[in-house]
Amino acid sequence: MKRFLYLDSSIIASLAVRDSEREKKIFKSIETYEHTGSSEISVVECQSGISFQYAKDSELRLYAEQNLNRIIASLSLYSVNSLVLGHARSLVKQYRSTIGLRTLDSIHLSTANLVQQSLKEDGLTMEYLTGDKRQHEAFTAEGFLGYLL
Amino acid sequence: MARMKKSQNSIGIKELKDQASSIVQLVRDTGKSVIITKNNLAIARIEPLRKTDYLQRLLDLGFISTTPTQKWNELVLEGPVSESSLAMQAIIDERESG
Repeated sequence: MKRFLYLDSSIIASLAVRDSEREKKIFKSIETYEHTGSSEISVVECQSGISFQYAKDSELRLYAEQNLNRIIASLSLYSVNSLVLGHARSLVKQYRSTIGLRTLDSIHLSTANLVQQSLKEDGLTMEYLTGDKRQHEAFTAEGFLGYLL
Repeated sequence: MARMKKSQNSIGIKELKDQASSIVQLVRDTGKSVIITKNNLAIARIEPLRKTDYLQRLLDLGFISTTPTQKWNELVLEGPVSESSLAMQAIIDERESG
């Protein structure tokens, strides 16, 4: 079965800075999927992470930013639009007081949910990869299969 | 069933009106597109949605803003490897504080 993989920004940022602990595992995981995507918001989150890690090293920051551009070119970017934000709001209503769903997690989860619904018609499924334990819990609560690296 | 020969790939608009369901079924079954004509001029086309069109459908629905321009197995990362991913932790911390 063709499968879609949703990459959280934590994973993309980890690749961009070439995290020695995770790089091989991430590539190995990605190659088993037919298609990989992430939210448009991931680009901003990743830039924030890179700028934090290399605040005092412009050379390494440039490498990481170029890596980020290449990674983004290998992904589908899912739109952050009114539909995504509306669904994110309902997820926050549902999960804020129970599992403590955070704002940015709700946008990632909403995006994955809406794409997944559209893929169901073709018998396709979406899984996720994240480095964020709380996001992992949020995706699991919505019934997604995925991995915490 | 639409009165369209297997080799034929066009049909008049009046026939379409009379046999719409059969023609759509034929397109679905054969996987071939059908041109709609009016006064012998091609004006439209009915074509099957293929499984591989799922990306196009996501684009049409507005879910995807950008599609990949390179393959993962062609991706080359540069610069030294990093012992830790402060970038990842920074993203997680920002979510926690948000």
